Amino acid sequence: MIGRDYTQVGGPDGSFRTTQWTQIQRLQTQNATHARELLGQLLLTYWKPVYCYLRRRGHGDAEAKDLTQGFIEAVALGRDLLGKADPARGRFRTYLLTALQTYVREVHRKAVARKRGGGARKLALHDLKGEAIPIPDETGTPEDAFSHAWAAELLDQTLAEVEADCRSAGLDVHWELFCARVIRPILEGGKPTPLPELCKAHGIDGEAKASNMIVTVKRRFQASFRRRLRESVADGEDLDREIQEVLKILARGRAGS
Amino acid sequence: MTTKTTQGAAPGDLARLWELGAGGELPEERRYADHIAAELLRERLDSPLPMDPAQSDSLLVMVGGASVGLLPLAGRSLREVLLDPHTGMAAIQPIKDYAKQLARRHRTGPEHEAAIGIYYTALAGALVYRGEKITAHGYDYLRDSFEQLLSKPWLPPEVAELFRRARQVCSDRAE
Repeated sequence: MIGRDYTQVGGPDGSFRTTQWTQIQRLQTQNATHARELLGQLLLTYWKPVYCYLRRRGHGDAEAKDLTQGFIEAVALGRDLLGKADPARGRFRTYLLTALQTYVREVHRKAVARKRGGGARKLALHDLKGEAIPIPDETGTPEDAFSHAWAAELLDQTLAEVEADCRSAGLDVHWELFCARVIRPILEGGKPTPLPELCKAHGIDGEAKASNMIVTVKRRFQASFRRRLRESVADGEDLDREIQEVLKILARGRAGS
Repeated sequence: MTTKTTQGAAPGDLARLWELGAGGELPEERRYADHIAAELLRERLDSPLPMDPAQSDSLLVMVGGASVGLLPLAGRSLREVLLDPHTGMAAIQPIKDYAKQLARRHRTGPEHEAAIGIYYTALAGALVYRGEKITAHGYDYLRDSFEQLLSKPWLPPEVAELFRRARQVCSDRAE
């Protein structure tokens, strides 16, 4: 599966994502400018977990953002991350966490936590400065905070993709039902909006039909979720292991709350 | 995005969404299982080939290189292909394998039922139109399976007709 190009055979849009490992391998063969651009896209997925790890280690908001920027620039753009990245090492999430732990140790040792390196090598992570990342009040380890934020980022990206797909396919009402019955109750608390109420509000003739609409979006959610998660593991077997491992980490957080 | 970010959500809430993404079932699926299975099977059968990975998620992972057998049929619906007496085994086999993998991933619920529906439609087509048994199951087992599936409210009528014919083929060969 690694490096295999699926774009020869595909669905309606003819494109399939390669794994993140495949992207890293491609970056290793690119020139510096192109590599930076591609790497920026890839690391966009991971800057929040890096930041949350640093916050959990005790750094304030501004310092954590500085260190996040520093990590991504110094380690990733310096190709240290690229040079040592190897699919045989397993999941990209755990590999990135290890690289981050190494970086933090080095920073503390060199006592240069606030330096970011040369201006010519800056990566424009404009999102960092203005964005407020909520840190849940929990007592987990920095490593758990990294994994929580990573799980949340994957879910955010999945939900955004599913919403966009639903709206472009004319399934706006489907999406609204899914939010009302599934997403909002989980994220905001409270009971799901009753089906009869939703049917009346949207002119749907029957709870069975409304249920089917909700499940239609659920399937899209699951397909997108698994596809995104598969991008960060070395092979198909790792996928289920990664799911279970993150669930264990989340269960630790749940037990501690 | 109209939903709140999940960043900062409690671990328990993240776990619930993670479990859902990994294959969890909604209460609606249990309550309206037959209706949802019928709609899902209809939707899958109406889908053009090759099957939309956005819906099935894992077509290429499951079918792999064998999916090239489906390329000449691009644009035709799965229903049309499965019910066509002239469809070759190069197309039937990957469809059967795809459905089998889906049924294994979703062990219960409408996804499982729809996958079983497609799987047995592929088997039935091979039996009725080609006289071939493309499974290790014996004829007795297949006859009983078709019989059981014929009682399912979610089975489309044209597929039910094929299953009746396949049941007869199996009965004849089981003796």
